[in-house]
Amino acid sequence: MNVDDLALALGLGAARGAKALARAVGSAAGVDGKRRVVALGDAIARALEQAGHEPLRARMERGRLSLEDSSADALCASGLPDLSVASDVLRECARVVKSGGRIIMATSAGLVGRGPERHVLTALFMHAGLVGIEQQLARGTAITIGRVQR
Amino acid sequence: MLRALADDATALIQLQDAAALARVDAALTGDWRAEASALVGEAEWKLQLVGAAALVRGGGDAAAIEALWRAIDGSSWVAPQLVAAAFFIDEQFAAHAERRLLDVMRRPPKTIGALVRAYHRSAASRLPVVAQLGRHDRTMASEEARVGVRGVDTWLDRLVEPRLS
Repeated sequence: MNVDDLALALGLGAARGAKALARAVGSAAGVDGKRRVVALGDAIARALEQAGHEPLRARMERGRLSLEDSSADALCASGLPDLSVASDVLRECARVVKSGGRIIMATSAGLVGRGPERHVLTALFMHAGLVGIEQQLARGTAITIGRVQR
Repeated sequence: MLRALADDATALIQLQDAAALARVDAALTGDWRAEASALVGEAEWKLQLVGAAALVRGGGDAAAIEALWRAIDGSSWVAPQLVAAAFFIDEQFAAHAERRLLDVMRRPPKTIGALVRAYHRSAASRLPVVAQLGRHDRTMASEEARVGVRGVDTWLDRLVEPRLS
């Protein structure tokens, strides 16, 4: 898989964890009130709207998001691409989020929909330069949160 | 000053003392990353551990990664924690671990135990390499190697404790 396949890999439009992601925007440390949040997927955008945030719908094409640097307070995505390119994806996600903002990603967890191990997610986030990693587990979904640091 | 936290080192071995980690976080100011890299390069295990804890909390850079591997190669008493720190901050961890697991240099069993375990838990581990790790089977059967395994597992599993919601 290369970075051009990311639109599929990120599961655009996937609903997994959409509401949990929207909740996490509000509960992440230092984030309160209405925020501009990049939504990789329609279900996530809808959940963000319902939670009172301003979603920025974006697509990843040729490994790039069609947004300016530091244009959002946070980014939400569901799913994780192939691990060989995951750090590159996360770095691109971090590019469009302001310093101090959050990257929030939902992946499957649990016995049925088993996703990446927690320590692997933590390492991927750190390899992308994200810090202050937090994780939440809810109903078979793992929400991993990392802070953009420049 | 991270150096002043050396007395917290014992609490950092198991990563179970939230207050000790909070003190590390509070010390991540100024040119802390250069200080953390320097501490990892010290001979004293307590200073190495504080440096490694700072790097996994605040993120590393190329100099920090180099310092970590140099300390791991230097047979540190806290090699398992240093290996775990390298796992988190070094994107090329698997390649760097492979080189050490397959070379002919003698390493302490605790270091071998930590490297083998972390390599198995890496998303980038490769089957042809895993197949060659049998060369360490005798070493892995030793108590000291098991200490290395437990040490690396503790840091990999506890660095980020999930919240249930």
